[in-house]
Amino acid sequence: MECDTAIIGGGVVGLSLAMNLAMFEGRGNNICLFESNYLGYGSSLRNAGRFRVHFGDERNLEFAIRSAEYLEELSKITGMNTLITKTGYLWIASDEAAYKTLKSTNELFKKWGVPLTEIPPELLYRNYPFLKERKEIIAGFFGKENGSIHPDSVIFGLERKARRLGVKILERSRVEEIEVKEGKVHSLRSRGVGVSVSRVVLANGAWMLEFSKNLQLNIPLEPVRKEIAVSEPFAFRISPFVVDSALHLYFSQTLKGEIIGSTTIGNEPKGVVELENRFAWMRTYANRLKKALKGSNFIRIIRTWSGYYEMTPDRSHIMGRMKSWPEGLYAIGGFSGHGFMLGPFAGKLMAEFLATGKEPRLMSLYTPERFSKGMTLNENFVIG
Amino acid sequence: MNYSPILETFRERIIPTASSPKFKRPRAPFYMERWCPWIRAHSPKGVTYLYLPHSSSNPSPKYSMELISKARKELGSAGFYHSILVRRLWNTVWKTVVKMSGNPELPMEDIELPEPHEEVIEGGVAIIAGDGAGLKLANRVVELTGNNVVLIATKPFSRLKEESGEGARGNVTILESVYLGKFEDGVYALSEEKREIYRIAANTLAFVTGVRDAMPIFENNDLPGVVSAELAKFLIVGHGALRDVRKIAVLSNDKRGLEAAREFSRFKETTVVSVGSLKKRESIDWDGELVVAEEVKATGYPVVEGLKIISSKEEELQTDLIVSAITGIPDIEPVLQAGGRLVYSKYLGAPTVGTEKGYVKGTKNLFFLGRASGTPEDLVSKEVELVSKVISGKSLSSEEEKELNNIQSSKGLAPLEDTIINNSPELLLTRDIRGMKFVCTCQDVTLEDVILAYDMGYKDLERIKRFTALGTGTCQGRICRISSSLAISYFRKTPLGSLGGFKQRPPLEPVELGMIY
Repeated sequence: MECDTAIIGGGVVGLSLAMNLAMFEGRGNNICLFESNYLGYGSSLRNAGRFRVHFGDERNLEFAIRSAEYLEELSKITGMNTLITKTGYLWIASDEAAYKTLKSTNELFKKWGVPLTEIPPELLYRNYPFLKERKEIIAGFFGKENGSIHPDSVIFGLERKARRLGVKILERSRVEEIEVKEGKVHSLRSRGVGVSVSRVVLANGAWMLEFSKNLQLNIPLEPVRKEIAVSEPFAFRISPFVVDSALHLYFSQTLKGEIIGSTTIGNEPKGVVELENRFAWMRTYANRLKKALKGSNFIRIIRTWSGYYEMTPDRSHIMGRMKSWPEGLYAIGGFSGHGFMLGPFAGKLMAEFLATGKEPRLMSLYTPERFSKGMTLNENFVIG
Repeated sequence: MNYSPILETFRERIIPTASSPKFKRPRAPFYMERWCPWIRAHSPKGVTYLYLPHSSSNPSPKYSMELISKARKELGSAGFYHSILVRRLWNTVWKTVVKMSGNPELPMEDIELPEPHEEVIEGGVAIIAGDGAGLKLANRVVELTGNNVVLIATKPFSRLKEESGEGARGNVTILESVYLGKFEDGVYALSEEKREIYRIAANTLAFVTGVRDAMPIFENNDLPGVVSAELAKFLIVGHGALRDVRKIAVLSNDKRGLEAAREFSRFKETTVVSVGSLKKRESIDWDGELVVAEEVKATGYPVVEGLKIISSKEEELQTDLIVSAITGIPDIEPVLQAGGRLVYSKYLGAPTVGTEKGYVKGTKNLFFLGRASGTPEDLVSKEVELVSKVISGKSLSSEEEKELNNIQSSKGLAPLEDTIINNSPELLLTRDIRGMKFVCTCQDVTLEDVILAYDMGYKDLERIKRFTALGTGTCQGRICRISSSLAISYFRKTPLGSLGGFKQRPPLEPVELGMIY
């Protein structure tokens, strides 16, 4: 088998890249996508299904605004209803530090035309009657540009469109090895079969570390395992995504009515570990949700699962390549918990770059070279 | 509107009557289990309120917007959401779509509860028992080792005693509790009554989970008035409820169903509807009313009024209650979650978890035995006796080895890859896919939805789940995992192996946050 471009990883990033590259080139039959499990298995189908434009670093903010615009178009591009809705994010400032950060960053948001609305406590409880009254709450900040999108529909849509363009999608095909000859990627091996390739894009999230180690790529990426839970469904009442930094908690309702939420308990395991759940986490989550949500005593959890935040040192993603890497090798990942919201657009930029050879401005900021050159970003808006 | 007595009974006792999420038709629980959709609370000693009455939504009439109903029926629910019609309108209609759900209101009211007490229970062996054979196993292991054994009774201990015909030995620690599963930081169970959380520190886990009534697939199989045999027994025999019900139809395919019918006939006018392999009239030990059916349809809306019997000819049967005593579905979820893999048991006629001489295949400290593992009922006691020796570290004589091998082969375990369901599964009481035939009652997924999804290219259960929301409700696949795979394999002649399954995750049963905070 031969592939011009091999994409490793069938998540939202890899699929978007494959689809967009095929769209740029007008055909997809020279693109192969390898997924070691089923499409979306890694992190794409393990998230809370939310997107936001509000990021603390101005560059990320611009990237996220453009990402949100792209997410809105996805239904039209892929032909699947992504069930996208702008249900908003509600930040609860319950300590002075959180309040200050939100207040000062809001100046930046205003500049970009996406201001947060500050809501005083009385109004907060009136608008969001499900919130428990707590005297430490200083204010709420509502961002209406943010919202929810259905991960399954996005994955299915990207897959369908990519397949229609001729992209060869190989599920349950782990890439065991990438072979480099004379400083250039030459071939790869999957399920024991060799495939010659002229370029390889690593888009396999946390599992990128394996190649990083074998090929000495030094990708500064550290997966952190996060847990999440859903309850049985209720009538849809909690429409915004509520974020409480003091409690390290977020929660909301899916359109189906389940209460989805998570909390960070501080000892999340790092590295590629088993994607299991801890009872201790569930107890902490229950405890914190009780402080924030009325009647949570009677809410029943029906499922918990876990997935990775692939953290980079500046909590921003990586796109492109380093000069020291074998020729023809690229990476896209390290979305630090924002892969589902930023990934589809990042995939599109990467595709544009691969198809035209010109690096789009928004992409060049995210080069993996930035860590050695001291050109890192400064992102402080990571939730959970 | 006229609601059936069963609906009234439920409303008074458990408030489970809600409308279904998509069709908004009234629905009552099929099972008496915590995970059953619409059953909000169930404690071993009786039934308690979980939600305050006003927070439970009332049954509402069938949603009848012509165009939407038509489109939904034509495209299946998932196809409907992805249709151009809905896609174009989505941004303006999503709030209406979301409002259409028949979900109950948020609880919103807080009651201060004492903090639950967490306790570590030590024992070399822990047995998760949903069947009398589990108690037997606990006793045998204690007899052989003299060590402490933890018995997690997932149904009232009195029931286990009744089923096994023996009491518990001194060294058996009985925890009447909800089994939550194997977490990374331990095996957990919960007693809601005592507000206690148990972390079970055991090296060996043995699952003797038993079987439960299968929810059969037929037209209108979700209406109030269609219940499992266990639930009917609980209500009629156990609590003398449902006084207004006069006639009962019992769907049965084996002698277990006939036994249930005999119990009901002491209280009500009972008709046996024999289906599946129980078709030959002469082999049926039943003196009362009897009809033989190839397929059935429940009639009446919003409550069951009768049953249309379809065999060589069609006939109508008047009934107030339809009790399903179709062969059981194995309770495999706890074993799957602990690390078991699916195989097909020819004896059960259903997928179960693969075992080898009592061990969960591929593991060294997990055991799975009893009816759920595919062991024929008359061999369960023998299996318990032999496997208890293995668990206790005793060696088996060559005679015993041979017996255990015989039990193993009588389960008729075969890889899913080799299994295509050619004959209609016993729980499938219909020959075509169209209509209100629910496979997943939590999410209103019909047989047609599932088959449509398969035809659209979603060829495995993981994808069908993601496309149709099958198995994502309160029961987490208990009702639909097995029935949907059997149905797809039967209608599309595809091996069960190609359908696979979906991941079972903790908690195994819905757990109230107030119980664990």
